[in-house]
Amino acid sequence: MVEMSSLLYICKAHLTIMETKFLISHKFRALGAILFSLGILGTSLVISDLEPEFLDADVIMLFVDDEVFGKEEFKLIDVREENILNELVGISVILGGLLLLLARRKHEDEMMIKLRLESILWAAKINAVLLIISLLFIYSLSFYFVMLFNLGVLYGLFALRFEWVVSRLNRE
Amino acid sequence: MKNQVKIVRIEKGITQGDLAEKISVSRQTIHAIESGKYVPSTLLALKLSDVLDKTVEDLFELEEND
Repeated sequence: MVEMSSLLYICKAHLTIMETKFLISHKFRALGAILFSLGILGTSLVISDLEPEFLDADVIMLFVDDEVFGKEEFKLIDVREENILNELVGISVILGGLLLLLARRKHEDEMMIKLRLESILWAAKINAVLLIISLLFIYSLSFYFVMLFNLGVLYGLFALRFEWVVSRLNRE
Repeated sequence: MKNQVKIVRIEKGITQGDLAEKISVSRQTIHAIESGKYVPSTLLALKLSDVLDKTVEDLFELEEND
């Protein structure tokens, strides 16, 4: 019969691999929250068409499709001046959201990992439903805003659900 | 799955907080296990049996629909 201590050791090794492979230090949680909030604030600037001049920069563009004098011109790669507010907002939302998703709680244990996974699955489902509804009913330029919002919807839904479940648990 | 964790813990005079500290989980996890909302992993079940000095089968029992 296998010794209890050996069994504990094997189980612990498996659980440790699972915990450390995907999650990062809880210190990144605050940074994630700040970046995500800044990204959401930045989205409102993008929607109101604000393009601060100091954010104009030369950028490398791939798959550039232009119409010059009524003739279509395609370039695989080009360097042009563009306002990079969109890019900064997008990266801020994605990076902030990812940090929120991956940062450990102060007291992270296996139940917290389960709640985290459940919240990610729940957010993925709701996100898919929202995207399908948007694909069916929103067209032309408005769909650009859908794609913009969609950068952060998955992370936002995850954060809301996870925080709600954890706070409900803390109240019990 | 039914479990006797709460009964055994009270018999031993251990609080949820103490038990949580001994097996390195949060107090909420102990509460969730005791109320049947969370089924622990093999590791946690073995740790619980170790700390509460009972076999895993003494603490956890399958129900008909499991």
